[in-house]
Amino acid sequence: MEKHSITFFIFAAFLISLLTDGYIYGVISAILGMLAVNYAFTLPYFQWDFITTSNLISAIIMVIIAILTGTLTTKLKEHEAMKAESEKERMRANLLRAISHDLRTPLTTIYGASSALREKRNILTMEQQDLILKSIQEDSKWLTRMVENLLSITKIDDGRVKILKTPIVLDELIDSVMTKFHAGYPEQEVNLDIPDEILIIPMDAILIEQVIVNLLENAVLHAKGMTKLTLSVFTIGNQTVFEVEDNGCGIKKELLHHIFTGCYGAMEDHADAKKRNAGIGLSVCATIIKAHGGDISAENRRDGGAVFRFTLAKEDEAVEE
Amino acid sequence: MKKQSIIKNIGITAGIFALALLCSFVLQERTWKNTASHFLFLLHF
Repeated sequence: MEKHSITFFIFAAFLISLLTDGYIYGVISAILGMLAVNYAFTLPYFQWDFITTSNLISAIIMVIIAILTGTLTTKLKEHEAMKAESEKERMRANLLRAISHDLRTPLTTIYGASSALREKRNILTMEQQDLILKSIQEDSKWLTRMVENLLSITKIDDGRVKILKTPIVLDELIDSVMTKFHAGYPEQEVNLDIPDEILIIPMDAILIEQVIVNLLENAVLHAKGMTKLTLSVFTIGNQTVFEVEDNGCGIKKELLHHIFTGCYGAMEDHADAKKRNAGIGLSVCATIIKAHGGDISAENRRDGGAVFRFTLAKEDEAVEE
Repeated sequence: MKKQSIIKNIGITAGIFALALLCSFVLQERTWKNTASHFLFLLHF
C-alpha cells in the first residue's frame, strides 16, 4: 500500500512541477508528500516515524526522486521556453536583414543618380536632368513608404497588430509590380496570366507588391538557366491565388522545407552576396502573407523549374484592428 | 498579475496534492465508503 501512495505523490510532484512556475511548488509538494506517506500510509499509521530504518530510507528516497522529477520537468520547461524565444529572435533578425536589403537597392539608385546629376550637370540636357530627378523622387517615395511599413512588419512578427487592408484592383497592383520589377531588371520579360474580370482584393498593397517583386527577383537571381518567367493570378472559391513560375534549375529538395524560414540564404553556397541576401527575402514574403491570413508555398515543377504560390482571401474575413 | 500567478500556482499545488492524498486513502481503505467513514472518524476527533 505504501508503494502505491509513494507513486501517487511522486506523480503529483511531477504534475505540479509541470503546471506551475518555478521549482518551489514541486519541491514543497515533494516534502509534503513524504510527510503524508510517513504519517498516514506507513506503519504505524497516523503518527510520524522516522526512527525505523525502512521508513527513513523510504522517506529520503521519495523526496530525492520527487525533487529530481520536479526540477528536471521545470528545467525542460525552461529550455523549451528559451528555444521558442531564440527562434522568435532569429526570425526577427532575419526580417530586419531582409528589409535592410530591400532598403539598400533604392538607396544605391538615389546615390548613383544624384552623383551623375552633380558630376555631369553641364553635359546633361534639361530633359535628362528631369528624368534623373524623377527617378530620385520615385525611389525616395518608395523608401518612405517602406520605412512606414517597417514598424508594422515588426509588429506583425510579434503577432500584436493586424495589418490594415484596403480594397485594391488587381490590374493596378500588377502594373505597379511590373514597373518596380522592370526598374531593377529591364531586360527580364515576364509573362502575365491574369483574369479578364476586375478583381478587387483587400490587402496592404505596398506589402503585397513587395512579396511579388521579391518572388520575381528570386526567380531571376536563383533560377539558373531560366528562359521563361510567368506571373499568374487565378481564383479558387473565395481565394485568389498568385503564382510565380519559372523554368530554371528548380529548388533543391533539402531546401524546400527551410525556404521560408530565413535559413535559405545561409544554407545556399552562393559566392555572390547579393544572391545570398535575396534568399532571405522569402522569410519576409512568408511573414507578410501569414499576416494577411493567406498561405505561401514553394514546389518544383515536373518539367523543371519552380513555382512559388500564395493565396489571399477575396473578401476580407479577418477583423481589422 | 504576479499575485494572480501565485494564487494560481498554490491552487494547482493544493488541488493535485489533495487528489493524490484522496487516491492514496481510497487505495488504502479499498472503498470510497470506508474512506468517507475514516474521514468522518478523523473529523470527530
